[in-house]
Amino acid sequence: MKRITSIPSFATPVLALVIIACLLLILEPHFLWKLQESNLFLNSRVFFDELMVEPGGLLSWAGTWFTQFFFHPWVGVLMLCGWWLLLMWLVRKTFCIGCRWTPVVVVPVLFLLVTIVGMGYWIYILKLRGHAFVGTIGTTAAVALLWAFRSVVERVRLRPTLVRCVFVLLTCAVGYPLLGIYGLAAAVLMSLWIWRLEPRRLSALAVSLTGFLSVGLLPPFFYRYVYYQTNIANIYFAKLPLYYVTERYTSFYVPFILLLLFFVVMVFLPQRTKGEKANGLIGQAQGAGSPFTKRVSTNGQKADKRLSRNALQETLAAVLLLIVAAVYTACSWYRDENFHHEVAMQRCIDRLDWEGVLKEAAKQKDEPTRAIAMMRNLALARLGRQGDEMCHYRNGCKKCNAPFDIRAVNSVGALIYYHYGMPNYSYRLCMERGVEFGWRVEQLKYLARCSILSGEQQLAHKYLGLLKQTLFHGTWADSMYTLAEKRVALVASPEMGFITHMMHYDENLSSDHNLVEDFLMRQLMSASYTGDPLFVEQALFATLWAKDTKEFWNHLYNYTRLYPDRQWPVHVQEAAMMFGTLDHKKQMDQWPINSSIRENYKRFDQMAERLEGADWKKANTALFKLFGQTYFYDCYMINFPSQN
Amino acid sequence: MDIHNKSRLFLLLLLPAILLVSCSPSLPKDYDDSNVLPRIYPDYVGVTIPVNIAPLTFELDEKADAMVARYTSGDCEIVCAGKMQPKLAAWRKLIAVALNAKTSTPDSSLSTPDSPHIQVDVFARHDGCWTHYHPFTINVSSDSIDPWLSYRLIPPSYVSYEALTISQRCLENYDERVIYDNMLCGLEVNGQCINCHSYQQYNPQRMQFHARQNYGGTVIAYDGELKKVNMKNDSIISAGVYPAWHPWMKLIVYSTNHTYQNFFTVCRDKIEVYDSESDLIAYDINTDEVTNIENRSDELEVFPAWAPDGRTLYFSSARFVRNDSIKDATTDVVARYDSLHYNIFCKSFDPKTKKFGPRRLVIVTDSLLVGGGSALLPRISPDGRYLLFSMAPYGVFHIWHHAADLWMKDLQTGAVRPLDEVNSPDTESYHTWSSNGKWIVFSSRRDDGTFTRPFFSHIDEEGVFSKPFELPCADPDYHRQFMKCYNIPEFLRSPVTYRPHDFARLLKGEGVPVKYVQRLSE
Repeated sequence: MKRITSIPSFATPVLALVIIACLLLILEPHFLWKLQESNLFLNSRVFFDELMVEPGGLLSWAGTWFTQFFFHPWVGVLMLCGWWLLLMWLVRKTFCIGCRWTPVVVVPVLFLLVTIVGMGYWIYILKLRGHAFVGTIGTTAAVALLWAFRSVVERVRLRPTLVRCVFVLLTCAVGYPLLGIYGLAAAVLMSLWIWRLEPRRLSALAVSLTGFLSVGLLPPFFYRYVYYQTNIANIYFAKLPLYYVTERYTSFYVPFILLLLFFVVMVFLPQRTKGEKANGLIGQAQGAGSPFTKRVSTNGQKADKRLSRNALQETLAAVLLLIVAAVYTACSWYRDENFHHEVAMQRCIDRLDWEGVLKEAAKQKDEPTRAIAMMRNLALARLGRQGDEMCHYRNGCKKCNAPFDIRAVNSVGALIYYHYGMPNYSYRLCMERGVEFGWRVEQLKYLARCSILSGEQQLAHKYLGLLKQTLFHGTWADSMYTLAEKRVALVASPEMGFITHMMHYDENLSSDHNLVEDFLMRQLMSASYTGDPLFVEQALFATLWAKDTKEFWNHLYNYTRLYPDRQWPVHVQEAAMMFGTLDHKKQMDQWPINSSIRENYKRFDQMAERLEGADWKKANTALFKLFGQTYFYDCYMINFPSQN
Repeated sequence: MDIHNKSRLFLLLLLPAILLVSCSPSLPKDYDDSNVLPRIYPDYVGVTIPVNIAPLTFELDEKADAMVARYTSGDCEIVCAGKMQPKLAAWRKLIAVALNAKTSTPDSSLSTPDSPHIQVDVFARHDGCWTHYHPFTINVSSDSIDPWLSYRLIPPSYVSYEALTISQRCLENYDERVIYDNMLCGLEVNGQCINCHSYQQYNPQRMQFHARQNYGGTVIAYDGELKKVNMKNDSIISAGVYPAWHPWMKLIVYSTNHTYQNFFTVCRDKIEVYDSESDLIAYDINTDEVTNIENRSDELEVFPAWAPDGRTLYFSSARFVRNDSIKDATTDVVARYDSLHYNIFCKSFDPKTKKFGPRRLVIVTDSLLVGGGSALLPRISPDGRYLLFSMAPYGVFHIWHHAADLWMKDLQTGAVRPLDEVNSPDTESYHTWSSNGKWIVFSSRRDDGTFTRPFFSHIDEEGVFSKPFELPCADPDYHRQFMKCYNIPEFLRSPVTYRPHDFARLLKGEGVPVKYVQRLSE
């Protein structure tokens, strides 16, 4: 027993925090980076005012401020852990939790952790600003208010009922505009807690009634007289993320419900009185403090044994509770290979680390999403290796692992359009998404880039001016000012130089219907411009994607004309071999196609013929084994445009 | 009093003194004079402002270590550092002095010597050295402007929308209020779009706007009474879209439109908004009757506007004969989007019989622009003399056309001209006359090509406009940070006093259905 109690009372929570921090940094560095790219904090009055038009605006403001530190994931994690440490300390202090029960203070932190690491594809469409910190700061503030309430209950002796009622009312009246639902939750918990803290039923009733009436009536009051930007249906849920696309995804609210339940349980458990605290009857040395302790005698050996047994049971119970919460956290932690590859690739692209993108692509085990395939092809194009290597990687078109419909257009649409030289469409996507889901650093950066590419200098200055107000993107903005002003610098820049070669699409008045790859490839394929070898090469690759033999021959002719001395890329040779055979082209033996490719195609053709009518899965496996790195396989087995 | 209290008192006295000193910057003593005008944002160099406008604030639009600026009029001056942000009272005094003193400027080329004006001196510090830029003037007109401006705040998005507000701004200070916010009735999936706010003769008690999608309908407020109208009817193309209040009758003319949009792959305009069909209808507020007043199948009619006498209705119309070989009307329009040229027509109206006469051509764009043009948004000045309109090479939605400019026709002389003194290289579109006919407000994207801002310009006796000035804001940088557009600026004599929640409550109810009639009842 002594060994148990001698462990520093806060060691378990601190250890838990260290583990959480390590896990975050090891498992989610790219996701954390993406969190800050999907965030925006501007150091301006306009930004502050814009957030304050909704209840809980201050919470979002603070949340966005802290989220920006994920730019360096370890700094963000340090800050998050700092908040969680404060929360755990407050929980322990507020509910006077003794050392044996101390592990349970980690439980709310785990629930809050789930709200972040369980996001997955919500990261692209969640509207709540500063989400990663909003829950944490809101909960911490609510617990701090509970602590203050407890102090008021215990210390104020002059008109105590009135003072408590005023305190609860103020919690709601001030807490709601500043903290949204967290202010309301604090008032609700106070209204419940008073029945444990106050033995006089009438006084408790008064406080409780004040609390519940405030929670019920103040939000409609604020809705009617203060805020214009909240629907009446949402007034009680201000600053709770809205997991809604075409329907409500209630499972994502589970950690919030558990968080509330945790505190409801805390306030319903028997409370230690001020006297007990003063006498140290239930302190660290004596055992766990309320709400989880029973009063125990310290006299005699029997009592000692009972104490020891009780203490052990309590410690085990606390640890068990923590384990259950940890298991729940582990199960709710979103680990999807494609999602993580997508985010990692986006980060590499942001750094222009094209080899990094390919390294990520090489790790791919599962069937990739089109977003992954597109980013990989982009990296290969940037490195001038697309024609020789694009079929060397796992290809596919797997749906995103999310319960709602999310496509490449949501995750990488703007990125792809920009890098493939369609600034109008990239700009449009950023604008639409910024309006719908709130402005993010990522969008402002693409808006600025697109404006630069389109020669809209003043517009670029607007977005760069905003980015200069951020803590971590000002330097990037400064570097972009030069590109905005000097076309020569733009053409020579490592980022935009390539893109300027791609801006030769035909003028069309149309729409992409949210199908990025399909639209882009068809625009490339139908482009009539033949002045730039890079553009023509991409147009040729687009025909491979579309499996369009007619356009393939057209673009191959242009390609050969522009690159008379260059050998056809491997996959182009494969396509020429395949399409030529299918189109019964003559004199194919004179084409510059490598003999090994000719042989390989023969083998593929024979095998494909043999497998005709066979089970698709079996045929796929057999063909992949031998021809998985050829265009023959991709052309036969991958249905590119089905889901992008 | 002990020593602590004494020091506290001292600090209390010292603090306001420190604040006072910090708020009163002084002009640099040593500086180099420059012949160059300062680059400031917003550009207020040589503009003309109304007597009752809010203080003009500006900032230096170039890199500098520090900036000090001075407004001077007679013996009255305002000096600010960092940004020029005069206090309202000081500004009012300055304006009063300018109007009374009519002092002459040191440089007569800057303005008419005896016209009321404010002189502006800007000093900037670069690498420790101060430069005094060439002074300029802000001319003050004794013609006042309507004190309130209403507009819709909307991001320059294409398909998506989220929070939209119809707001109003006091032009005499920086007070901005929400008239209606769509989030009051919009939910995640069931969003609500709001548009086309319009007033009868600048009267805030008589207004209308449309709500689309969730709880959609047309809201009509008339002298305290609110009504939601369901204007959809089988006999008309769509519910009412672009409105035109009759100057005194309880009658609104609308266009009805099937509007679509597509996106350019390359063009800087990015988007083309077009109608596949459009007509004009008249709606009687008293009887809820609607009737078609222009519904030719080979014409696309749009943007009605009344002459102030209430006896003539102006509108734009484009000839568009459907190609029968193309099944889909939108495909047909997309194929010929750049050949849609709208001219301006008018037709007579008899207020007694509520009868409209035949259409008559007013503006023929073929003769005005090489290759033809498209004239939209006719607006007649309150004295009935001028017809102001927006012109671009083609199309119906000029706010997305960078080439769009303001043009004006003198209805007395028949002369038509582009307003070169007002136009910029970028978009100029939606425009309105002030109630006294001395000012216009128009939407312009001249700042950055995308974010629409309201600009004001004064018209003199000869029909010449002054250099326009941008809506002043408390923080001159506000519009550079603000990510929404000011859409459809409309003057108001006083603020709208209906509450947003009144409109929300109304919209959540059922709309009164309109009755289609062949002719409106007399």
